[in-house]
Amino acid sequence: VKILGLSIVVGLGIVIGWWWTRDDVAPTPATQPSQHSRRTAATQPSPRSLTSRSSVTSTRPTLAQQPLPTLEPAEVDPARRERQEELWRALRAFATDAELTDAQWEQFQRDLSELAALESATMRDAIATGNFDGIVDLSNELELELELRCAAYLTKRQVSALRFRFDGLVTRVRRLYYVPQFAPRT
Amino acid sequence: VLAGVLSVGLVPKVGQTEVIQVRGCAPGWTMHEAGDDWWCVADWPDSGGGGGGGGGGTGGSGADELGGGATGGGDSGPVRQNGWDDETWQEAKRRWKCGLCKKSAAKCASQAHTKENRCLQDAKAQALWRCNVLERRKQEVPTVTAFGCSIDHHARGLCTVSERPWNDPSIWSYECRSVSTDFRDRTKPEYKCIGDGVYNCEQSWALSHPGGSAQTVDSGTLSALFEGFGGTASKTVTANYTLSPMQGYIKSCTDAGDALARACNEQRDACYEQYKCGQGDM
Repeated sequence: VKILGLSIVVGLGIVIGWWWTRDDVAPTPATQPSQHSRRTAATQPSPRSLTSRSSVTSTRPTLAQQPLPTLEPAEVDPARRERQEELWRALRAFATDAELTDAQWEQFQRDLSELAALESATMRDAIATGNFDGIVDLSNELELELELRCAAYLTKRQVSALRFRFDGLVTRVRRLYYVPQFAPRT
Repeated sequence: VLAGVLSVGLVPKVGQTEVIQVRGCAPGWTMHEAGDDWWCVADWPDSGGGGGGGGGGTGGSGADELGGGATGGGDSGPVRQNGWDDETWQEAKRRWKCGLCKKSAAKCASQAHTKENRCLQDAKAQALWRCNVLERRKQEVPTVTAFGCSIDHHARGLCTVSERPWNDPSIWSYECRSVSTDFRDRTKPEYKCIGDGVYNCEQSWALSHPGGSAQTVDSGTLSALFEGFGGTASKTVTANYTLSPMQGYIKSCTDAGDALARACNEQRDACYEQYKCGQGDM
């Protein structure tokens, strides 16, 4: 009986001790965010953080990971399709007149699409939260980022042609090709 | 610019080299010197030069026709340098004005983006109001989705006009519960209605529904200013928008922003045309 009583006291002590210190121990796997969700958060672009040039460039995926995006008109809505075609003609005219090689043209499309997708992600976030602060500044920065990226593989004359022909090009592509989407919750 | 620098090496005597450098900058650029170092700074506003070159005597002509621009913001235009003939001076001014065309266009495009954002913000606020269960109940009006039905009708499967996946009654459920923290004070209960039904009601207004009603629920006009300079009048460009369940407010506002930006670009092109700007002027 004595041994039993002692065991109960010791057992109760252990339980109370565990309960008292449970906040200090590491969370159980069930309470931790899943590896998948953490990885997603780390790899998806975080538009709000894109306030410095380094952060913009650091989100750039390698070419091997990127499918080749095309800005060829594919919209079904006739009015938007017409505007896509207009932009496409302007882009092709730039490529032809500035004598872009195929490789330059493909890289240019990649950069333009990627930055437009980033702006779209930022807009999506803004629409979801209703907070549009800093969006225009970020868009201006993305325009500058496009020019800087292009300077790495286009000649000065080609970059001048780009500057001459387009204003707000990243935003224009975002508006016509990367309209933020929301799915209904089910 | 550097190509415009003339370096002439002369060899007056065998074994003794003397280098005479004739320095200069292209029209529209100002030379700055510090000791043996020197460089050229663009006079036009995009590069922030703002005609900051010191020392050079100005010819006195043309300053009046450059100033007074709305885009100025401290840009006083290029400074005429010693040795520039009239042709060079006119070319410098023309290039500077091309820079102002570009600057006005960029500001106009930024305004277009700001107005687009405001359109989205206002439309979202309206959607929140249409889907605010408690506030609508207080005013004795039902909630309304982009399909013209209330959330409750959707939840009961009574709204037959919605397309997939919106026609599934299970996505329209929601619950209203007390969120009061002070349970002793039952005179002021605080409720909140949350759930997929409320969220989806809000989103239904944001997205396009090809089969939805084309009836306009709101409309307006967005505007932006293309600032003039040097005696050229500023011009306000506009774009109209209409919000309807069929289109969804994201596309409506985005399209209006695009139309406004294109109008800005038309003004820029006219400006370029006026000053015969080419890509070499950028």
